[in-house]
Amino acid sequence: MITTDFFGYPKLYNRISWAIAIYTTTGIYCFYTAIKYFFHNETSLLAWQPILVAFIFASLLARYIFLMMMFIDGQFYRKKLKKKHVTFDNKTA
Amino acid sequence: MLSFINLLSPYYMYIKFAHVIFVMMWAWSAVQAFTHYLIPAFSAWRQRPDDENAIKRRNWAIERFDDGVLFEHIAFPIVIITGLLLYVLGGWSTSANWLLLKLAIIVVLMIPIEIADYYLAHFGGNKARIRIAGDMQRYENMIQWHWLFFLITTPIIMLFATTIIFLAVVKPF
Repeated sequence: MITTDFFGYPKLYNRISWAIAIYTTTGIYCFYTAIKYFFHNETSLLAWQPILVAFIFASLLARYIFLMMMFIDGQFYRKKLKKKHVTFDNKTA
Repeated sequence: MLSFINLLSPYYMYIKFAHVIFVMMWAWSAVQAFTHYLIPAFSAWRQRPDDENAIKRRNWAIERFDDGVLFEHIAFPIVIITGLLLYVLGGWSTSANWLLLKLAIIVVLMIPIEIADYYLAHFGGNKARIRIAGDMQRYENMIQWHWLFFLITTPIIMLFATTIIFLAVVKPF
């Protein structure tokens, strides 16, 4: 018997959202800063202010990703949206 | 290299036209199928994981979607190639901050996402091919991994694809 229970759950989504947010922010910041530093000799992004902004952005991004994952996975709107979709097959079968 | 640039330079605007058309195809071609076919099918399955009808409809939807993203996946390499051509022919450089940020988003986010998407939709993760091969445990696993992939990438693409288009059009800094 092949299980159809999905392995995702909110705690995992929370961890994933933080991992993705940190990867995204660090990646974009490093890419941008490296090009500016090595090709244009600009060091303005190597200060605490841009790093603080990046950290705040990463926190907001993690929250946004988590909420969207929960929303798309149907944790928030399950009862409201699902009825027509769930009963469609059973009614037409 | 210089003769190549000289050869293509008069066609800069034509290449730009192709770039914009294929960006539109890449960004929007799968939206309707994803929102109104795939998500309802997967939501029904998430609510009733043992309902045979829900599972059948989920499987049908994801197999059709694997084929449906073909437009997006044809467009993406063309977007990259035409983008590189525009960069060279237009004399752009990374001193343009908006362009550098756009490149960073593409390199760090969009290319890895598309590589995973190619694999899940057309190569090792193609559901129809796995079903025909008869490996139903792998079929179920790949559907679940694909769903997790959608959950992770949807918010990312919604935010950063819009950002890319905003940066290219507005050039805010």
